[in-house]
Amino acid sequence: MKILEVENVVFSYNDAEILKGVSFSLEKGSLLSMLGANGSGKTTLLKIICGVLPFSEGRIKIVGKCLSEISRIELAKMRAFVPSEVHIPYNFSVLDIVLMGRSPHLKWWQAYGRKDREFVLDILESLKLSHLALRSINSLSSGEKQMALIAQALAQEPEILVLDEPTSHLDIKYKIEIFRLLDRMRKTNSLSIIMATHDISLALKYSSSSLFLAKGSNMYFGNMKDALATGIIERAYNLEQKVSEFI
Amino acid sequence: MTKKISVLVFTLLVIVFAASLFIGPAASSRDIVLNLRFPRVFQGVIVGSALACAGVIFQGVLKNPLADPYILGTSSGALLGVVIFQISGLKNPFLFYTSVFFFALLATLTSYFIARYRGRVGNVDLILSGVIVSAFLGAVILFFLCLSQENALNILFFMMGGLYETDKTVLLIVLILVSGGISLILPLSRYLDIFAVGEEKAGILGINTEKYKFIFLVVASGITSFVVAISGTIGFIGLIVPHLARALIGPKHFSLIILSAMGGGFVLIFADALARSIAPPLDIPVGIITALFGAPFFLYLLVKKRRNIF
Repeated sequence: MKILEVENVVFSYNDAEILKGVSFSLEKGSLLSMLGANGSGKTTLLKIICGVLPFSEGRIKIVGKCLSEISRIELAKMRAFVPSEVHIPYNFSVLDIVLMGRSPHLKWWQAYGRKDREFVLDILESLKLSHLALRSINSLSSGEKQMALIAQALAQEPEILVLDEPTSHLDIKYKIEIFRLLDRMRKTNSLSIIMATHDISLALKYSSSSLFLAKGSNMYFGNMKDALATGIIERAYNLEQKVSEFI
Repeated sequence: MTKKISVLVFTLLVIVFAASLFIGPAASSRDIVLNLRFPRVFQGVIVGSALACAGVIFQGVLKNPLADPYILGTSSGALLGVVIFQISGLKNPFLFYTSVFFFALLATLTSYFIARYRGRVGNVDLILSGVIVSAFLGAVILFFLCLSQENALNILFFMMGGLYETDKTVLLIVLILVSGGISLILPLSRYLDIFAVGEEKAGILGINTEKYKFIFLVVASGITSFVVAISGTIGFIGLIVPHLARALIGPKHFSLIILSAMGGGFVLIFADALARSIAPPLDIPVGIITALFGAPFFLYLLVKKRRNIF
């Protein structure tokens, strides 16, 4: 079942076309890796899918419904977004941060209740973050912080999880841990995941499909092993060497 | 822990309130305590609470720990409203509060939109645009003062920032406006927490960011303007108090607003008691005292900012 369909999406900013008609789709319970050189439009595309940026042409459907017809609050229960780098100037505890993810399930005047708290504690438990619950988000290591932000996104109970380079400044231990977590979430909770990443070897191992962007166009959408075999990766990153020599 | 600290700050507030009724250059006769010092200390609580809460709201919704109604130019805007109303010779109190509020909001939004670039507002950019707006409004105010020389000295003294309103009806009106504003924000404090993490995150979580940001800016500008209308510009309360409160009980806005409301009152009447007793028989406007302590505190924050966590 297709949970997300993107057709010919165009995005322009100040007369410059940042995305030139991108199309792809996401199956329920699969992990799509989005690859491409810096500046190829990955982050823009992710934000458009999340409804944070408007797009000028094309069509996006989530669970069969047009993005423009979905209300803010409905959308917040359908997709969650983990941005690439977040700076939080105040010392909120991990529990406070993850609780914020419950916001779409509350009315504006409601405070977080006991059920929200229990729900969030369960998520922290399953991500092995319970011991950090009362620590300040700013006192965590980069890896722990990234896990906490993923926990916040999961607290929204989304059908689609969108992540922008979640592993880019993490050490190999957390890179592996995050990929394995996403793999587990997609298999056991049939969560659908789109992730921009530069970790080719991990993406190759864990992703169900891949999308390659180059200068705002999709140059390839399909199985990642085929992309490796047919030299797509080398073209996407303008490489002179063979990627297979390095992984 | 939060409760204990709140009770402690409330007790301190009550003690300083009571004590400062008996501090001042003149002897503490019944008449002076009841008719001069009581309204003055009472005004101190309202003004301090309002400025501190406005600071909390600005620092939260703009995700900017350096924001405060004085630095953003909100106070200057309100002051221009006061000056224009004084010079126009109108007497209608409704028009007075409306014009003061209007100019305060205009100043806030101008600072905000000058600093906004590609949907983002840099912390230092916002400070700079606040400086620009304040400088411009300051010049306009001085221009009006030159035009109306008979009022100039009065207005100049008012601008220094002091607790000299003795009309009890006026104090009551401002009390109602300020507490109305604060109680409107309390149920929205959860959204303020999310804005403090990031406006984009607020959008992701299904919050109508433009609408709520506007509500927060309107209320913060509003409560600032109403207290500027009676006490001139008293700087830095909105900067110092929220930071102290945050250091005591953490960044969650529900408790932060309540503690800042009490703490703002406490700090301002304490500063005012100092202003009355530092050089008797002179009564120094409290705005001078808060600026003397506030400006170095701002410097401290700027230095601390290099770590970017407050």
